[in-house]
Amino acid sequence: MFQREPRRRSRLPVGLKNFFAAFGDLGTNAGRARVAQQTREAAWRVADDTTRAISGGLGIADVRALLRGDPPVEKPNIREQVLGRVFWTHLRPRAYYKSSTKFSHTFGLGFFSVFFAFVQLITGTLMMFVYEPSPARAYQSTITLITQIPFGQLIRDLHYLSANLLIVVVFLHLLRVYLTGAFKQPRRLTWVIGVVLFALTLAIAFIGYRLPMDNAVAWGNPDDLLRYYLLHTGILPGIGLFLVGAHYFRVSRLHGISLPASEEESSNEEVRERARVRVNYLPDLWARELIWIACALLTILALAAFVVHAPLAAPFDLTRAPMASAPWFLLWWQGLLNDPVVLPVLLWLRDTLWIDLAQFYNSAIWQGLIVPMLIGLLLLAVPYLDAWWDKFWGRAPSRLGRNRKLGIALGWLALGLLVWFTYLGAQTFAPPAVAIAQEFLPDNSGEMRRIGYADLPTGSHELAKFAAPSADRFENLLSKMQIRVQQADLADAKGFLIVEAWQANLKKITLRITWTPTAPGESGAFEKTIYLHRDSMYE
Amino acid sequence: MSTQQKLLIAIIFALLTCVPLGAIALNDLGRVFGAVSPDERTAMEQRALAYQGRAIETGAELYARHCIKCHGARGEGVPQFAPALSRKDLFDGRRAQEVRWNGGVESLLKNAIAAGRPAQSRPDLYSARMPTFSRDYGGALSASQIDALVAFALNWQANATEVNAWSAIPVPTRAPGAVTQPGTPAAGLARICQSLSAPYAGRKSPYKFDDKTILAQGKQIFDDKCAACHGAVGAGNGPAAAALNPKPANLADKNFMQALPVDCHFFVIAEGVRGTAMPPWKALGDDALWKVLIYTRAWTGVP
Repeated sequence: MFQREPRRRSRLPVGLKNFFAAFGDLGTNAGRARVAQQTREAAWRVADDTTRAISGGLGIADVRALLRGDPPVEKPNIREQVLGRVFWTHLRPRAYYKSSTKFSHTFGLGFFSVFFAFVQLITGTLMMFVYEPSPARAYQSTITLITQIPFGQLIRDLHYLSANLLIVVVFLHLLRVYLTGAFKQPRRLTWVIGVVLFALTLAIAFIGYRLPMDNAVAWGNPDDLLRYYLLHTGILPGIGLFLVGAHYFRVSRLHGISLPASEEESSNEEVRERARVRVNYLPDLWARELIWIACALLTILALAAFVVHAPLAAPFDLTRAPMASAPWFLLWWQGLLNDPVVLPVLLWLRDTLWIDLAQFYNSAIWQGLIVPMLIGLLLLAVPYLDAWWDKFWGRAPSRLGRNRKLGIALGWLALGLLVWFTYLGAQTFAPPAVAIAQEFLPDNSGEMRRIGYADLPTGSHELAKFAAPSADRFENLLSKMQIRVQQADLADAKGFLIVEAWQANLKKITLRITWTPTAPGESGAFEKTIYLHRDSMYE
Repeated sequence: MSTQQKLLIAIIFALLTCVPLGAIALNDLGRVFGAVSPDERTAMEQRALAYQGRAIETGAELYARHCIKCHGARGEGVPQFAPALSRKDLFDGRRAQEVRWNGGVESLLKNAIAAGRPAQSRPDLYSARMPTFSRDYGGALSASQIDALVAFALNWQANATEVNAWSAIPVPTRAPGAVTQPGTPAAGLARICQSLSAPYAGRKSPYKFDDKTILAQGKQIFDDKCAACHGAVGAGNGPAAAALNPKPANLADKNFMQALPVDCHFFVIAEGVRGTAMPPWKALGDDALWKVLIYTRAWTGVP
């Protein structure tokens, strides 16, 4: 029935056959020219295919055109295929509305947020190779990172610097979106995700301060370090990455970057259309983003190398909490406890009408938990409240500044309150002598330590003898201290700085302030002591 | 701006990142590149020293809080109570050998601080018991803090004195907390005066002890440099004195002055007293020191 075709003996492979044929051609001039031509073509094909494989579809000619800023060579536009097919590039839209890419409209704040988040991911991952998340080893491993690992301090400085910049940039992003009304429909959910991301950023940074187990922040139980570590390095960034994906997806695929309101809502049709002219991502916006990346990278590298060094205080010590324990970006929260507006009113109410709300108002549960949660909820609800307000007055939603004067005024008011409460949170309400000691002999820093071991003369220095400013750094500092002692609200105050050679290469520095006690039980003297070693390089 | 210009700018910025990176490479890897001579230190080595120094500072603070009452401000111990720490036999390994400790001095100290001494090693000499300080054993100190304390204690090595077995307390200071009776010169001071050597031994004042101008000049210097600690009339109770331990000497005390010969007095002013806050003043010049000396001796009239 069915007969199998007899198996043919295999001949030479085609490539080898061609090779031998070409070999035969080498005898004649014309044959040699043909072989050379074929070889060139083959080499070009290989190079072109390799380029396409790497670039996701762009051939050599198109890469060249792209780099020169020329229009694409192949039709249809191969660049759009690249942006669609390759995973990384397909995350970007093929084109943007021209006006939404104006730098003065967005300041690239969303872009820089992602950039700094990536710096955090990379530097953080590198530090995980050295850092040991155990209460006994965390501090020592941080010192090992700085002092034994090449580039270790740079990595830590970059992480510290870029964390702070990330907070600043994310906050400015939120402010920009609020003030330009870009949170309105269809971007309401994007705003909500953004607010959650902002809170996550603050939470991750706050926990990050805790991980070196130094005394810069003293809260929590040291035995819980592993939990904070997992939150900081895994859980919260994981949630953040997911939410960044959702946030970015909505911006790049659903509704795009907002247009400047003045153009979007212009009565002039030409202006509206000009705003929506499409600009291809490749190559113009791509090249601009390359500049941004290189510029930001250079800035943080130069700052981390020459200017900013992540601080590392003495080992964690719950019995010696620093005066201000909140990091700068949460000082407003600490400031809520120093509220000078509502609290006096409540105190007055308590004293006159016996309605005691002051105690609850000043409690940790209200100021530390409920108020921040209310602030968070208010931020989340901004687009919905805004829409309700428009509906209430029967107005069509508008992003134009003149149509949302109240919203913009409230935004500036909130910013003012934030600055004010940050200022209040930074205040240390210490007795005058303690405040002076804190100012001049703070833990782990301060002018006294910067003067250095060698230039602190031993002996007892009466501050009153150094009333005038001096060219000598030490004497000048003493004169500054004398001024503060005199200004302090203390009767007949005198200050003494006693420098003792305490151990080999170690000096003991005691600031002693005496005054005439006015209140009964007041001691009339305060002392603070620090130690300074010859090698301990405070900057 | 054309794409080419944008790319050029990006490339220039990217290349410029080599400047900070190169600087860090030279700092951290200078030893590898041979950019640092053997007697110089790389930035990373300096940092290592800096954090060692800061550990000593932290240790000094912790020592003042937790250890000073028993072991003394300068590690001189308290007789019959707790041993001295600034002692040679601790650092050269004799003490470790005595208690059969096979690790180094560092681990001996670390362990003694962390776990205390459940059984006293010399109950015949000291009555106090070393408690446990590690958080692991109910104490107050973390591992990093104990490391800092050890760094501080090891820093005594340079100035450690020979202690006669486990008994004598050789540092020339009074024991902290011990009340100095008026009229009893400090034992340490007596020892200094007995062993006075050239160029101080036998020196005499170039001025007369009742010279009015010298006394006036001496008063000026004393009021400027000494009164903050020793007090305006030398009673040892100046406003800065309260911060000091041991307290400044009572110069108005006749018995004290009688135990202090003129040459020894001059030595103490010129060279200071180790283990106390009295600094060396020889930078002021012999002339000024003699004037101060004459002024201070005028209160008691001891020539």
